Amino acid sequence: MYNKLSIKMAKAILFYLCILSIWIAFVVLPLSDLILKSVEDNMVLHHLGEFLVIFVLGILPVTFVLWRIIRQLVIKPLLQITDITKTLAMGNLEKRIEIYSDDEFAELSENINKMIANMLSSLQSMIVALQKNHQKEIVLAKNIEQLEKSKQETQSVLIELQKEKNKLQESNAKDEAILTSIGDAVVAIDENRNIFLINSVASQITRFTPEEAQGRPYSEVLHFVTEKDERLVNFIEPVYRREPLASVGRLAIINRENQKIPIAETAAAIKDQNGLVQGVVVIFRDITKERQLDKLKDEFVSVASHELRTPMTAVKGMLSMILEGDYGQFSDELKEPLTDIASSTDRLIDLVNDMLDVSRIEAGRVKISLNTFKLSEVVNEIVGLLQPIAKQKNIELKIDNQSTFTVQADLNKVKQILNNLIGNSLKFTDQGSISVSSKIENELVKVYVKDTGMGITEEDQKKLFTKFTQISTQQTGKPPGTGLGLYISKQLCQIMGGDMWIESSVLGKGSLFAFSVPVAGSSLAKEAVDRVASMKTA
Amino acid sequence: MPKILLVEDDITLQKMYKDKLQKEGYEVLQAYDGKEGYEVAKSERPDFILLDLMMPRTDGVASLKLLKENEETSSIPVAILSVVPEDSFEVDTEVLLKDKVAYWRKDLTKPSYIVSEIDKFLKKSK
Repeated sequence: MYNKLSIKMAKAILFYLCILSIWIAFVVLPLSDLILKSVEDNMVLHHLGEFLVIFVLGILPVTFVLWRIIRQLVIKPLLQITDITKTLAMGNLEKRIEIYSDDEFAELSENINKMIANMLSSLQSMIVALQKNHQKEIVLAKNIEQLEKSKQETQSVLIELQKEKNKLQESNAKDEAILTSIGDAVVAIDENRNIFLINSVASQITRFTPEEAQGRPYSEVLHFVTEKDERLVNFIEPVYRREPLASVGRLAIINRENQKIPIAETAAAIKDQNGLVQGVVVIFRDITKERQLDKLKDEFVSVASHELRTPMTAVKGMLSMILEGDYGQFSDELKEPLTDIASSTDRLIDLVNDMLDVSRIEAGRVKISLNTFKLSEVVNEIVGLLQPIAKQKNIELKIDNQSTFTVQADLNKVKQILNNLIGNSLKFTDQGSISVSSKIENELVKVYVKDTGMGITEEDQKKLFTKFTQISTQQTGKPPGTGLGLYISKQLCQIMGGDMWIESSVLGKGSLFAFSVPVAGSSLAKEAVDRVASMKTA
Repeated sequence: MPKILLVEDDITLQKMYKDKLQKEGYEVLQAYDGKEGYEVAKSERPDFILLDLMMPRTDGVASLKLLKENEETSSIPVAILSVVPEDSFEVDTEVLLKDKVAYWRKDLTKPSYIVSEIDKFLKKSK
């Protein structure tokens, strides 16, 4: 590079030296002659025009030379720098500035070259970095792709969720529809005793619109009273205290318009996951119609009770008088049919009485007078009364070991029950014996009636205490009963706090029936007193 | 001849019990409701009254009250003759308990049983 430079420099210097020598020959020498001549003649001003011509002629080549020099030394390198920087600006980093001199331009050029080199290297490192980044970007893109996938999955989950939500809303709407269209009145109360839900039936009964009722304390909307004497009853508070629903008898609600409506009611606690009571749901139903039906039924039973029995009484009574000869002698041929009519009439009367008894028991309209007495004495009495029938059938009717405990029961009902049990044994036993015994066990005196009769199959035993059950007369060869006796007896035992059951029975060998009544003063006896008292108020 | 007052609204039963009682040697006075029974008892002073419970107008329980509240009739023994079980809610047991001699079920007893029971009672009280 410096070789090239020095040749160029030598050429330039030679060229300028020629110019300089010409300039000296044609300008400097004549000018110096002229100056000297003017100074000698003291006529400087006289030769001013010549001066000027020579000066201008002389200055032109000097200017040219100077320009060339400046061009060579300053402009050229500058142009080169400009060119290079232009190409640089265009992105070409391959070109370098050629350096001919050793001056400031050279330094500048060198610096620029260095700068370009630096730029190049930093560019290269940038490219490397970019490539690295690119790889990272690829990884990133992959990640984004995965992200997109999981996003889609999330979206489908969200859609499912939305579907579920819709379903839930649908079922909520259904629940609400059910709640509003339900025939019973439903009122839900929160833990602050304010109503937060009331359905249309409840709104209709209470005469509070749902808007009016919601947020109100329930005590302002629900006035429950006893149906009989209109005492205020609150069966809701005990539910908050998690107490079991106590029997409060027949209730009615007094509504906003002071109307009294008989109701059937129930209340249940709303519990959270921890079992804490968060509120109470009260459900009740207008039972005005049921009450009317009950009344009609009672009236029917009452009328039937009187109107059915009166003509049957006449038939039975007059037949007995005919058979006893009160209306004169009758032919022997008539005796059998008349006796059959009489026994059929008795059966009819028994059936009517038993049916009416069942109806009264089920309606809770049987008077039970609970007294205390020694059961053994009643057993003695009834066995004594039935002894003639046993003797007639040639069956031994005896009393075995007896408990002497005092029981609490209705004396007449116990007699009826004993009559029923021993009577059944007498009916279905043709030979052997019937023995009655009793013992105390768990607050109960249990009475056992054991016979050596025909026995009952296991299948028949199961339905023995249901209504209208009797073993077919073809099977037994005995006159039919009403099929209600054991049912009535069992019901009566249960009302009095005891029970009736069949202990065992073997076909052809005999049966062992039992019933129980509570020992006087026992907790079972006290419960029976409460039960009978509630029947009376009903 | 002992006088029996029969208070019964059913004509057939009236006839039946009257026939039986007369056959057994009783004089029979008849009344068809509680009020009439009370009036007859007051004027005729029977030895025994057979009183039906369910009758139109004045029923047996009301009639028994009238009979027992009047000094002239309060000492006459009264037996209830009814088709209704004694443990029915229709029967006011409280009233019946202290003043009746017996509670006989018409549909469960024969006329001969009732007559024999009256016989026994009147013989005892003589």
